[in-house]
Amino acid sequence: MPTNKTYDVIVVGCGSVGNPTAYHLAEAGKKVLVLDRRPAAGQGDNKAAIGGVRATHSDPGKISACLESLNIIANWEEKHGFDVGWKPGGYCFPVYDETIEKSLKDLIPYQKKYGLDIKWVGPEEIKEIIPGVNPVGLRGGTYSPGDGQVSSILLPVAFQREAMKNGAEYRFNEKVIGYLREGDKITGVKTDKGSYSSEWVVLAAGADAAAHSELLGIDIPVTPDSHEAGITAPIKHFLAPLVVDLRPGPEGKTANFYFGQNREGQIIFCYTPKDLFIGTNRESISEFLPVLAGRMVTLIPSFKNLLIRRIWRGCYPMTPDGIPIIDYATGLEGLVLAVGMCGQGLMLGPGVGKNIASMIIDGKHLIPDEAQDCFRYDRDFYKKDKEALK
Amino acid sequence: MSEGEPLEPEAVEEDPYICRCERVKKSEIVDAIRSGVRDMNQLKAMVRAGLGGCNGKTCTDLILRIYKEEGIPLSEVTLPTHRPLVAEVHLGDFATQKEEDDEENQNADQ
Repeated sequence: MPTNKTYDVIVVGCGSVGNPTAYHLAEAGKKVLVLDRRPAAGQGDNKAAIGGVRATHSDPGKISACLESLNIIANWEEKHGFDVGWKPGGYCFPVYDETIEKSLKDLIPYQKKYGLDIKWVGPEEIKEIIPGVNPVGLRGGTYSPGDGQVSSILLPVAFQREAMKNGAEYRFNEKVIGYLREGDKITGVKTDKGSYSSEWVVLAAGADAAAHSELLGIDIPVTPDSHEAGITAPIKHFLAPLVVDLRPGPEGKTANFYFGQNREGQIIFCYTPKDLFIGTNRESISEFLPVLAGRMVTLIPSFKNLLIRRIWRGCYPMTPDGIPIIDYATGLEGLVLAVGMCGQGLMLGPGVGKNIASMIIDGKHLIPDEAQDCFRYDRDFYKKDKEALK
Repeated sequence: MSEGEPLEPEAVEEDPYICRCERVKKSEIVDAIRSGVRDMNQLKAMVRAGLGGCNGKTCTDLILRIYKEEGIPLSEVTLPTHRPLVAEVHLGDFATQKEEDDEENQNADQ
């Protein structure tokens, strides 16, 4: 039984955030251990992601982190020679509703201020960007060409392999059951198989994060809810961007829905339920396909011919305000919290991981001050102005 | 083939397809196993064996056999997520079904 082996950093959780964090730390020469209770990298909710990577957000924290993620993902194959399924093509939000048009247009100057390449385009251009889109009532939409898609099942392999080349150790099927501490300093991690010491611990436990509140003696306000997604048989490539329809559905079940075509030609899709399914139950529900089908076929009528291949569910680790916590843990030295990605771990992870490596190595964030403030652990999670673009 | 000619046993293919849905050859699976992959979900992600229409009905057992051939105890191998055999259904059928149900309900209300 390995006991009291010492590391610079222990990362708890090998998902969308922990794994890239380990990669950035190992690349910078740190001695890293990654622990996960599952059998391989990215086998929790990471792989349930449909693969969209967008910097199209409404807060400076997510915009900054995701711009960095896009930079890392888009250049991965050239830098490391490993194909992560990157597909450029942007994000497109087609709009049929005056209120949504106003809110998206109002955001654009703010998004641009933080470096996002986005514009409002008219209905004719939307029809070119989304071939076959329903033209009735189409007002236009936003288009952000720098966004794209990645394979949520290949990216974890990519980060792990590069991290291991730089000496990172990965231990799977090993569950964290406690923390080593000296007073207010976290000095390591205890698992069901051994104990390990470290200068720093990064908590990146996704949907399990709240369970660590008790182990650490701090409040981690993360509540998972479960979302369903699906994939079709491949069809001829016709759709470049990831498409988001922000309208709530007339069936009363959907808050919005989104889809894209992956590199294999499959249409991959998901919706946000109007009433959330709180908890970590990942069993499929029978209303998913009928509800989703109605929306998809209304937006793009030819989608009626798609063949459904598989559906699944994954959890969004939600904070009360829908924005992650990426901060030093107040009151506990040696602990960095990287939790509550709110369903956006895949797109946030690479950039967030780089930021965390900087927090540990250089003692400072890479992202701008306003972005850091978004992610603070001691912020007011219940303030009134909600995130405009979830 | 003329009558009475004995059947020649077909040569065993050197690198057969293991996953027919996604056209994955044995050599690709052996390479992944030799690179250290023990979780068949991760194997599926890397080489796509089991990601096709049959959801791994054919290849799962064959891959387990390859693990054995490679001398890896199956106790070290994590099985892939079990998924039912599917008949792929048109998305439009789900949408239509919904409308038909609604119509039926309306008729019942009348």
